[in-house]
Amino acid sequence: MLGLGSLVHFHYTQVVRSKPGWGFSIVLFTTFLITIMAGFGPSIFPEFTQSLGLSATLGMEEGSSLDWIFQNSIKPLSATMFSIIGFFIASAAFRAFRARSIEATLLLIAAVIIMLGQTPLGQMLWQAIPDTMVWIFNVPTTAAKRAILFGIALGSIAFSLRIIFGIERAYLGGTKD
Amino acid sequence: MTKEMKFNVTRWVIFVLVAIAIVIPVIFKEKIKLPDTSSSVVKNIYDHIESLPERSPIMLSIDFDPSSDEELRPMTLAVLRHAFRKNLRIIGTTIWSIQSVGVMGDVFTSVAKEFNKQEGVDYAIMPYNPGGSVIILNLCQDVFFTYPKDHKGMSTKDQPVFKNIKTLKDMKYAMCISAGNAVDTWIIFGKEKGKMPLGAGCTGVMATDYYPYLQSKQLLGLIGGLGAAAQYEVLIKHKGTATDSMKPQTVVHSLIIILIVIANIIYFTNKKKLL
Repeated sequence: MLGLGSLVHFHYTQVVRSKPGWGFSIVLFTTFLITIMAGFGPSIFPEFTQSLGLSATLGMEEGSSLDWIFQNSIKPLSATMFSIIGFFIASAAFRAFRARSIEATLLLIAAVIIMLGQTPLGQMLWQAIPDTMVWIFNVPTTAAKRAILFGIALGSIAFSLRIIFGIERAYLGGTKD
Repeated sequence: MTKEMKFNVTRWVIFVLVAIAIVIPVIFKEKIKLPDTSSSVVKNIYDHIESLPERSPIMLSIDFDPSSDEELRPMTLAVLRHAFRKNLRIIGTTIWSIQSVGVMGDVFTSVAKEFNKQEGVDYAIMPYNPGGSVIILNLCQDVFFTYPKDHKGMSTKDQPVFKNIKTLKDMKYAMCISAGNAVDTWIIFGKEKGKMPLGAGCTGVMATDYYPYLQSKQLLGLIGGLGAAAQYEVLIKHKGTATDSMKPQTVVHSLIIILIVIANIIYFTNKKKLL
């Protein structure tokens, strides 16, 4: 409820003050109302809902109005947002993946092996490619991941002890000891 | 041409190339033949499900929403097909979001129709309860206290699918298919308290995060990304969307590698920034 109140308040202010992008807030309110109507509509107007070819059941059951919104709006929109990442990755790889130093070259070689190894093409070209990919996952990547996990765990313990013994007081809002 | 214009033109050329690299293999997918691949981390999950006796209860936690649906649905379908073919009882749950229940309903219903399985008898779908780790801890104590009703509001206690199940420990296998950190939560709370074998499915970019857990045997196996989902489809001898998706993915990966090589050739030739 707090989140709902905050969302409505924020977008109401955007519209009333005509801030940049206020049109999107109108879209939000419109879709918000449509979804509420789809949720409560079947119990208030069961005949109208059925006349639209939808089931007059509440909730996310197959054929219900909410299910229709989920299948025809939320699913394709979310998938589209996620799919766009692929285009940006290709563009970013072209601009950023340069063998500027030894470290960058190692990263580049590892990335190429993994990209090939993740697809059947790697096996088609040379069996050693998927094997090397598995080695990269099992040895250097796992070692680095473990080091990060240990670092986080030890850091959390040290920080907790500092709080318990009163050495660390910044979390209370103070700036001086 | 200004530097900004050059940047935008290069970017749009790459976008068009990626679009072509996706569309053409989708159109001519029948003509492209790729070899079948397999890995031990994927096969471990297959072997465990294969070893379970009929009507064994398993729990499948669907912890992704429509944004990751395209990448994670194929592996979910493959695991469900395998479990239904083995005539296992499947309890579907989520600790991720309310949208995951929608995805779960869609996936379970479509595979159940293929195998003529009945909700409440062969499978059940739980509603979304907020709490994440608390939900898993509650499942370790009492399944019916955590989920007194399924996603349709029907009492869980009366359903044959829950026969002889009291806690998570009664599950013969649990699997979390996630686009976020739900696998970590299942390892920490589910595996350690429930003691049942745990498998995981995740997006390709997340797969490396879970290799330490495979080595420590906290995870039985891992299906990481579309490539691994395609391997699972090969194992169950039911090639579906993951196998088909390998074709555009292979072409796009090749394109990205070619772009990287071109960019490096230009970089070393000019010895200055391209853009």
